[in-house]
This record gives sequence, structure tokens and C-alpha cells, in this order.
Amino acid sequence: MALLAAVWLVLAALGFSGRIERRHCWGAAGAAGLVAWLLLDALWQLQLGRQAVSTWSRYAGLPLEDRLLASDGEYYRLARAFGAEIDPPARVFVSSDSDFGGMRIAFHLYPHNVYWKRDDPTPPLTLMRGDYIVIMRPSSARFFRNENQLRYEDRPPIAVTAVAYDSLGGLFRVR
Amino acid sequence: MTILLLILCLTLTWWPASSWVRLLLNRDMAGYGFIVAGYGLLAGLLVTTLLMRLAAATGIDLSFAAIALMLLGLGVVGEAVNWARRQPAATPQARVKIPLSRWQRLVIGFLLLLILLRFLSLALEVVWRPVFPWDATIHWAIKAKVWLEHQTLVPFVSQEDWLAQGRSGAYTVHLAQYPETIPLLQTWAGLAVGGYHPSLINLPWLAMYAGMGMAFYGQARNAGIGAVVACAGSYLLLSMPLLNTHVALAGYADLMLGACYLAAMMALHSACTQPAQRVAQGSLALLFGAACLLIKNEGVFWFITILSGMFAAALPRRLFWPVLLGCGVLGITVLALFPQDLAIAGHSLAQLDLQYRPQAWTGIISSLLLLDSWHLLPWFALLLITGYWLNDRSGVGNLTGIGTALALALALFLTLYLGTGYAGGAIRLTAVSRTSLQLLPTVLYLCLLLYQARLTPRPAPTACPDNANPPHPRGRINGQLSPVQSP
Repeated sequence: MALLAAVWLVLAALGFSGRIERRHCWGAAGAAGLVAWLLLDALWQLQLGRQAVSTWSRYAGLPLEDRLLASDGEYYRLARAFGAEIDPPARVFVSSDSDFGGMRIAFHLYPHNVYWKRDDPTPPLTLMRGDYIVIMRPSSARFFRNENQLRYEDRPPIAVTAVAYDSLGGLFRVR
Repeated sequence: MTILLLILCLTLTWWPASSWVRLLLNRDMAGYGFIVAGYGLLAGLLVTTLLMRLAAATGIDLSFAAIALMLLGLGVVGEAVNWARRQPAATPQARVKIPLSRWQRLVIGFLLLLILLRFLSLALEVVWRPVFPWDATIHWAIKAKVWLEHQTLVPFVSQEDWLAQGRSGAYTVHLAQYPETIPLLQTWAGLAVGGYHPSLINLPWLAMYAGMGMAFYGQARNAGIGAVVACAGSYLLLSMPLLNTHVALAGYADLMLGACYLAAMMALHSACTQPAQRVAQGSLALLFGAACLLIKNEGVFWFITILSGMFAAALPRRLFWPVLLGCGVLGITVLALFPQDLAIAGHSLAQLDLQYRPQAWTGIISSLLLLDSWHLLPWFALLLITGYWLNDRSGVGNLTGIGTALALALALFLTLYLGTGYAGGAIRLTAVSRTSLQLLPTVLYLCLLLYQARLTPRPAPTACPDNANPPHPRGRINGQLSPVQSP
């Protein structure tokens, strides 16, 4: 590559200087440049080929549900389980300290009417009775079973009913 | 059945818009078929989304049959107008084709094979992999999912409005105010396959890729570039790693924005350099430039660069630098007097927090020159553009339009990453390459024009008495331009 780059630069310099018929210099420089590009691109094509094999072994031939499970595993499974418990057209608030986790579970919860705000895991103060809150770990929210309350550090407690939960998160309906 | 519907979907996306592009162009121009195919495909993607908006606005349900019928009608009208305005076929002598040599055919065949291999590699990823990119799952694909579920364009409002409205039935996502073209494209593919499909909604990205490649080759040929160099240029375009990544991990808007900007700028250059095509190519430049507004909010800035290029190209040469200076002074004055909290394209000066951030240089240089996002393109561009400025401007033709537009775009790009709060996107290497994708295909086209000029023989000096009968440069016979097509 370094040699090709050097050849290319010398030919280009000669072409610009006009010491040799520029057409010939630039023809050769173009060929050297194309060969250098092809070498780099061969490595990239190899990587794309490997990726295609990996993608094929992971997704090819799978039904849609399994393909989504293979892609987004826990997030999709949780969204599917919680989504089945939500009565449309209720509003659904997703809360998580992980931007990625919150985003993925919110995405899979649509076409429910979902609210998820990046960098802000605390549900807003404008919650209404019948809204749902999805908590996804990691989260600073704590559920107090005896009081049926969700508590955040910087917000008044929220009166809720626990609808479903597992080790990754929970679904709560605002009372 | 799904495959048949997808073929129908592609045909209906492509053919009607192509018939209208054909209306604009003269079939005797070099690269005509590729320009029609490439621009037709890109225009078809845009027109389909406009028809979907029209259907929603007039209360028509969002269904494949309804949109397909509208496209069919558009195509039939386009063909009818073409037929009514048909012209006698060009005489066989009108365009002289120089046959390709054996090695040229071999090189072109090899490059086409590589392009086909790349297309297949990317197509497999698109077909198999569920939607993955951050932007797709944070806003674009969400809209498609909801619209496909409700079979209508349910409104999306900002998060603040959504909270204030209570249970109004509206939805919300991050950046709800962004244009709807990208999710509409995903919705169109979804309608063709009968509903939301996590992989096949991304098929329009393959169409963007193919459309870009064909339009690039066609316009390169139209600019007088030989078949081998034009084919090599198309291969360089279609093999750039970050561009490939945006197809394989489809769902970002930057590829479509880059494709529209490229299409507009290539047409702008043709309009500036070929008087016979001024109206047709100028119209394409304006249409695809305006299309940038429909894709992302920042498209407005790219559209302004295209308008600036058109304006600069129309100026008499002696006025260029004074007007440029005047515009610079005017720009700085407006910036100084502009209200801090007034938002344009979703951004206000207060949010942008204008100040020089030199630490962003590292990210910009890494993204463009050190990482392999673009293979060698930025290096080629540096050499060719520097050489053009410092040394040799002969044989290049009028680059005022494309040059001014790209220079302004580069200035805006550097201002964004060196002078605003978006510098973080360069420092963390999260956004600078994506924005580059919107511009670098056009930079490649400029490089190809500069390179082609280097391959053209120097014009003979006019003062030399020995050159009373200098050899004619290619394509010039008896003092008149002949439509010779270089090999």
C-alpha cells in the first residue's frame, strides 16, 4: 500500500509539474490509485463476507418472532410480554437508567402509545390514572409492595398497581 | 407472493418517475439511460412518499392498492405525455461512439462484477437483519410501525406537546418534528409486504444505493468522462465502507440525503457546463435540492448551498469575488444581529453555543483521513483539489457552480463541528462521518471531473506561430463541438 501510495504521489506530482505528458502520468496515477483502492476494498469485502455468513447463521430461515428474539433477545421478550398486558389506547411510560435498554424496549412496545425520554429515566409529573409505567433495569426506581408505590429520588411517589414483572423489569398501572 | 409484490412495488416506484424524468431530458445525451434510471429511481422514492402524504391528507386509507393506483396513474400520464411529445429518432451519425478496446471491456467487466458482489453482500444483510440502527429505533422506524398498524398517518407530536395533550391519540418520538420521508419509505415497503416487517421495510435503502450508482455513472458519461473512468468512479462510490454500512444497517436518513444532494449537484454541474441541457438539468438540480428539505431538517442548509452554486454560476466572472466578499460580510452581520432564540431548521443560535472548539479537529481528521470509512477518497480529493488550485486549471471547464456549492457546504460542515455544540459528535466520532456521507459522494464526483481534466490533452498555445493548425482537442471538429462520446 505504501509503495502504491508513493508511486501514485510521484506520478501525480509529475503530472502537475508538466515534465512528462500529463495524460500518461495521470493515467498511470489513476491506475495506481485504483489498485490501492482495490486492495483496501478487498479487505472490506472480506469483512462483509464474514459478516454475511454470521448474519445468515443467526437469522436466515427463522420466523419473524425468532428473528427478533435473536436480534434483541431480552428486550423483545419483555416488550412482548408487557405489551400483551397493556390495554390500548393507554399511554405507556418507559423508564430506565440505560439509554440503550430504554430505547430498545420502547421501540418494541410500539404501536402502543409510548413515551420514552433520553437521559431522563424519571416519569413526568403529568401521569394520569390508567397510564402504564415500564421499568427496565438498571433503574433507580423502587417498588414498595405494601404501599403499592413507585419511588424515585427526585419525584413524589407514584401510586401504582403491579401488573407484571420479572428479573429485568416490571409493568405498573397508575392508580 | 411477497416477492411478486416487492417486484411490483419496485416497478411502481421506478417507472412512473422515470417517465417524467425522460420528459425533461434529451435522449441523445451521453449516459441518457443511466440518468433516467438513476434519477427515476431516486425521484420515484420521493414521489411515492409525496403521494402517501396526499392520500392521507385527502382521507384515503394508507393501502398498497391505493398508492399503487396513484403511481400507476402518474406513470400512464407520464408515458402519454412522452408519446405526445415524441421526437424522431436521432440520425445514426449524430453521436459517434468510439468502440471500447478489449482491455477496457475487461476492466469494466471486472468492476461491474465487484459492484454486483457488493450489492449482493449488502442485500443479504438488508433482507435478513431486523432493523437495528439507533436513529431507526429512536424515531424513523417507530413512525412506520405505528402508521402500518393504523393504516393512516397518525400524527406525531413533540414530547412536550404529547404530555400536555393528555390522551389525544397522537403519538410521540424523539425529534417528532423531523420530516416524514424516511418513515414513509419504510411504510411503503411495509405496505407491499402486508404490514410491518422488521427487515423488509429497509428495502428502499437498496434502491437508494442502486439509484445513486446509476445516476453517478450516467452524469459522469454526460460530463464527457470515458466509460472506464466513469465505471471506476461508480465503483469507488459504491464501495465506500461507510456508505455500504448505511445500506447494510439500513434505517438512517443520511444515505438518502447524500443521494439527493449528489443528484442535485451533478445536475447543477451539467446545467452550468452544457447550455443545451440548462433547463432540464437545472430543473433536476432544483427538484433534488428541494428534496433535501424533505429528508432531514439540516437539508435546508444543503439546499442553500445548491442555490448559492446556481447563483454563483449565473454571475459574470468579474463579479464573483466582490459578490462573495459581500455575501460573507452580510452573513457575519446577519449572524451578529440574529435573535439568539429564533430556531431555524430546529436550531437556535443560543442552542448552538457558537465558539471555536479546536479539540474537534482530531475527530474530523481521524474520520476523514485515518479511519477507513471512505477508503482513499479524502486523500484523492486533497491532492486533486490542491493541484487544481495551485497548479493547473486547464481543461476543467466551469466548476463555479459545483465548486461554490461544495465550498460553502464544507464551510458549514466545519462550522458545525468546530464552532457549535455539535463538536461533541466529532470528538466522540459519533456524528462527523454520518454528516460526511451527505457530502462525500459529491466530492467524489468533483474529483472525477478534475481527474478527467488531467487526462485531457493540454490545449495548444495560441501564440506559437508553428501552431497555425494545432491538433483539435477531442470532440472539437471545425470549431464546433461534436457529440463524440469518449470511450
